[in-house]
Amino acid sequence: MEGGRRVPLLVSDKKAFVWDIDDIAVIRTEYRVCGTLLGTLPHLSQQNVFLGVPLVLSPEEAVLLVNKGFAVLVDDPAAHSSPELAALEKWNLGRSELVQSQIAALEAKDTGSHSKDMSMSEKAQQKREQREARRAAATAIKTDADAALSVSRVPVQAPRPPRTAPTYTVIIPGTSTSFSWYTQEPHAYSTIQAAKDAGIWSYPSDLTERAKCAVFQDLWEKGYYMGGGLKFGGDFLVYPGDPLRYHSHFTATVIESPDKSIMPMEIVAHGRLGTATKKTHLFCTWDEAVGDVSYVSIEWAGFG
Amino acid sequence: MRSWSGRGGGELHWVCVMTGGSKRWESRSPARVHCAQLSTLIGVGGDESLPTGGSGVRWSPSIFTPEMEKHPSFSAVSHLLKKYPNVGGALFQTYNDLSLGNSLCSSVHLLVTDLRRARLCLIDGVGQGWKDVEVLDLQTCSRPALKGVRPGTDASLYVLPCWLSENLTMSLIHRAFEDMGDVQEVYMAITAEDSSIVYYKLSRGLVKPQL
Repeated sequence: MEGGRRVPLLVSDKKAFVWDIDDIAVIRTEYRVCGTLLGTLPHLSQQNVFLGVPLVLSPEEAVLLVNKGFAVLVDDPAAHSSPELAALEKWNLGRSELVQSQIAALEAKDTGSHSKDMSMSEKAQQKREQREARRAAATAIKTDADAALSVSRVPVQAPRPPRTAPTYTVIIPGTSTSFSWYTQEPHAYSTIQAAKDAGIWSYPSDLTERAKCAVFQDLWEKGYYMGGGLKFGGDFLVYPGDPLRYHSHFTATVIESPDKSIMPMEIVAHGRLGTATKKTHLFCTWDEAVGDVSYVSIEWAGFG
Repeated sequence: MRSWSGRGGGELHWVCVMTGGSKRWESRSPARVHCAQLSTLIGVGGDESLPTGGSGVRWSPSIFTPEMEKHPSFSAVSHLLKKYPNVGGALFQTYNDLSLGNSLCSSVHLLVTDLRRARLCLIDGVGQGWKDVEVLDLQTCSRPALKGVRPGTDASLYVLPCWLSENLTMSLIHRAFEDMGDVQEVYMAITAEDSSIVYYKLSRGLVKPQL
């Protein structure tokens, strides 16, 4: 993306998080990186199928986005500086104004519903008076006595509810961009090496991690979406499209080098699991000398 | 996979015996004997004539180790057994499993009663039934391999035997693909010392699962 905005990945404890919903949408729809949502939903807190912000990226996902120039790594703790007194006072004023406006809105709603109650009881009074009048007329005809006194009633006000302490909601924003003491740009790193030098990032640090990054990138360049492979016994799940719309075709295991020792039992275990779950298991070999990823698909032969 | 009746202390494993005088083979518990199991057996000689089997099972006399060269499959693989001693057993098992017919035979009943009259037999009817099974010598990866035609198909398939306890590498598998004529698919025959054998298909590239 030439000259375009790079998505800030907020790094905390060497993990990359995204808190901004629009950034999450861009990462998924434009860059084909899905990540994992971590946040509990306040309205549905007793489940973990539907989760909310923040999005956490796997290390390979973050490395890919930075290497392709789509994102930058931000040292988030450093981006929050200590606020000056004036800034703090301004922020506090803003918050109390918010609280006041909430209380005011609540009160307006309260009186509004109050007058509604009144009109209801007025209507009830009127109906009662009409009934009395009819009954009085009936008895007057019957007894021929003095017309029953229609008791005129003074509409009685429904008692007001007793006043309690006002309640209001404290809103915590999902991103820090609204704070005047938060600045991202000076703490953003556009290469992995720069982030490593600054001490906020350390992946990949050995051959195994480099192999995983290389295989992830190679599969991404072929147009696939990747997810976590834990549920199917692999390093990645490989989807032909967005995971919300497709099942994965492949489970990928990363082999860090063409000379890495592999037990035939691994072929049996991965092949059998893949076939049982209607997926093909991929052995993805990273050859660091050549800079190349090669693939072998494994499935049960169906005989023997 | 084949059922295995149990391996002994290393001496006498599985023996087919004809009981005294009768021409029937009996056993206490039904078991299917796979030819490859016999490759780990030690035989004891006898000279009773063997019955002809019914239900499509062909019997052929064979006395195994220490006279292994009398095994019918021996001549096909002998030249490579010496050259590749580490994987000779896996090659032998795989060759037997592929070559023997796969006619559906009933369980074979066997009984060990009289060891002096024991004789080992090669029992046909429980293999994969492949045609035109050839033994190959792969030059670059220095391993034996096999090639054959699966029943009901026309194409030749390539098989690479190995032991369960071996260490493989992806570069070896890559070389095997090339040695077998740059094929797209190779079947790996993984054998164990209890004569279990499993086949897994290895294909080059990303091959979507069959629907």
